[in-house]
Amino acid sequence: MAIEIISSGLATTLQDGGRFGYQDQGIPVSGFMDGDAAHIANLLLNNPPNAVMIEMTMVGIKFKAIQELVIAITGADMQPKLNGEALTMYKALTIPKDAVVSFSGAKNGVYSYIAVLGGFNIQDEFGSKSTYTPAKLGGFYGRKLEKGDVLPVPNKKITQKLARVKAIDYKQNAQLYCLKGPEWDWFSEESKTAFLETTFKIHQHSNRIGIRLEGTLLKMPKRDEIISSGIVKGTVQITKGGQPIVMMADAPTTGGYLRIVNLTQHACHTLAQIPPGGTVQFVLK
Amino acid sequence: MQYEVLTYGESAFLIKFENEISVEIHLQVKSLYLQLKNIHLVGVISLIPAYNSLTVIFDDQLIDGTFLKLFLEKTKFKKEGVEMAEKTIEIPVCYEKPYALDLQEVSEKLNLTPSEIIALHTSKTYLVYMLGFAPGFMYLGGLDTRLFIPRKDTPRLKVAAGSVGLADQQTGVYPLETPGGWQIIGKTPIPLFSKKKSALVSMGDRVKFVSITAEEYLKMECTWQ
Repeated sequence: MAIEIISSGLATTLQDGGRFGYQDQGIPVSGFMDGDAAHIANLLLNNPPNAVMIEMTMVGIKFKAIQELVIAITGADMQPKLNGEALTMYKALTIPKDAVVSFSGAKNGVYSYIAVLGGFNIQDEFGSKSTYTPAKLGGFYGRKLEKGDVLPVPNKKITQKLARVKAIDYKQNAQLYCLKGPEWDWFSEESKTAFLETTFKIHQHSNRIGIRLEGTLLKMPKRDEIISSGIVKGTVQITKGGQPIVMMADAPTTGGYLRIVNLTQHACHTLAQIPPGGTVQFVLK
Repeated sequence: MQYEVLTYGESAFLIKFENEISVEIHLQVKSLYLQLKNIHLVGVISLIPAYNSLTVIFDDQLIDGTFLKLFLEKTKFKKEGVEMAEKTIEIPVCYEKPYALDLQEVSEKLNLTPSEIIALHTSKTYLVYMLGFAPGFMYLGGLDTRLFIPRKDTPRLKVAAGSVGLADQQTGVYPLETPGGWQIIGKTPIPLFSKKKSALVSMGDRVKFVSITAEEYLKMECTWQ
């Protein structure tokens, strides 16, 4: 069984739960930007929570089902349609042979997910199927999906369709819960207060590597960088210029900027779905 | 061993050693990294050793964070004496045209002839303090002070994979094609990051650059592809 990509969307990749265990070689973790939405898609199909699926960014794809298959769509609302008729999200759906499923621009949120029953049949690379394009790693030949790509799907029958679950409601602004980071105490009281009281705007130069925030530039302490040290998803770095950048799925494994706070995992997923221009505030947990 | 264990988000701890770059601290990080790696503690899913820190990433479905923190704080880890497999890897570098993009510029700025630069660069054995930033990128220590040079004023939009460069007090090799501002003095035909082979170097290894001709470069490039 398989699906064929008819149009590729903006930045569409295959992702799973991430490539852990190779960060000592400098290989980023990658994986779902919004793990909450992705996990629901897998849950609806009774897949393992981290099974590989399609992640679409801002603008969705169009694909053809070469055989009948079962899918679930979650995340950003890209107005999915089956042969032109609106499709329900957050529900296991049977797609008939030769049917075309199409998505448009995101009405809310940023990342939308298409899971298939059993996950896509592709090889692991370094223990994961997640795509990391700079090193051409994982996914479909290590790259974004393109028109004409045929993705193999295991031949599996669904035993039980779970009830529809409630769609996650994505907003243009959010409070992000966070924990004090390793260099929190390096900042002055004034900077810490400014950090927690500012409403930051999501910069358009945000991607799977990191999300840049615009707002008050923080006053930096004298020591404004650290000896290069490990980075995890959700680390909020403050650049020497005082601008926060939240490190996301494809973030480098190490860096030298001060780490003021770390987002909770849920906050990472919430942030991933706020489009450029949306706003966030940090709240210490 | 002296270190503190800091909370680093919901699913990681940051083990911080003394705030300095030194071989002594490096050996302690390496020792702790190897001991934790060998224990295969269920739920510890990744380790990121760096100059003076070790990041421990865990899966909170598999291990309790409070327990892991206590374990990291209370266990008497060995400062040394761990099997420290240490290899020296020779990396062939062609310092000739068309690979040595900035050798002339470096030569003028440092007031050294190209052959002096090559001699200085190939004379040292460099310690791999850590890998990071990008797959297979080595943070090397031990560059001759006479080769210290600032980055280029305008970074290149594309630096080819395998390019060997100088920047401030560092020397290194670009493992992937990326934008970059290092002064490029040569290129290696050997892939530093490959999907097919296991990692060429690990933290704690030593690296030596060996000068090769453009002809040898092309031959090696064919073998490695």
